[in-house]
Amino acid sequence: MTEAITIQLAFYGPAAALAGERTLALEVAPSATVGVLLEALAMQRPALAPLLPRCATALNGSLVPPGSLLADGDRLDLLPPVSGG
Amino acid sequence: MESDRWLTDQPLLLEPLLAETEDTSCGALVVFAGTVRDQQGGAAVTALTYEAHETLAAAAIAEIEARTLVAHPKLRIRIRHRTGALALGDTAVLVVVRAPHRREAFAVAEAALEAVKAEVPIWKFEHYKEAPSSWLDGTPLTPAPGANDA
Repeated sequence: MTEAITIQLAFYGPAAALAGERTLALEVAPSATVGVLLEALAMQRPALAPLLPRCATALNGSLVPPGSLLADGDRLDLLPPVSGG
Repeated sequence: MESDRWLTDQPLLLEPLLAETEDTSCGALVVFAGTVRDQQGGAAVTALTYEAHETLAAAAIAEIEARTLVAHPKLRIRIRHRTGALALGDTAVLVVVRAPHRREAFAVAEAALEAVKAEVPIWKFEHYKEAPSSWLDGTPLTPAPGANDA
């Protein structure tokens, strides 16, 4: 069996408040997508679950859709609905 | 990228943006300043805090400026957003547009501000007089068209 990969999550705005922390390292299967990781995150941090479907994700600094594949050591930023201006 | 050009935790100053956009071929200057209001949905607001994803927020504002200039080559535009703790009345965002004529200047300034509200990863945390502070709900971001939908 292939070893799990570790993704470094960073939370912003209301997501950080609901997660109770700014960063979290999460292990997922090697073939995991962003969407799969978000499902795992919802299990680990149930308070975040309702917000996750409305969050965008930035993988290593670029906005990506949920189907994007993850690699070991990736940084994934969780970006809730924005309210600047 | 130097994010300070588009974001700052210091009070926003209009004069540098006016100087940067100076252009005598433009006969119209529109300045929009968003300022901290003392109420939100009927609740008395005492202050607010903006948090940004600095690199992505700066890139998003830069992209709004760039695409505006592609669509309107004769125009000048600068946008700058404040981060950190703001008091009532403080300026949260400045949009400066110069165009040859007024209609284009007004329209572009409004469109640029709407784009800032919808596309820039900045979050508003409001402090209320008679209720716990809370994050404002906002607009979900979407990946740029053409992003790899694996």
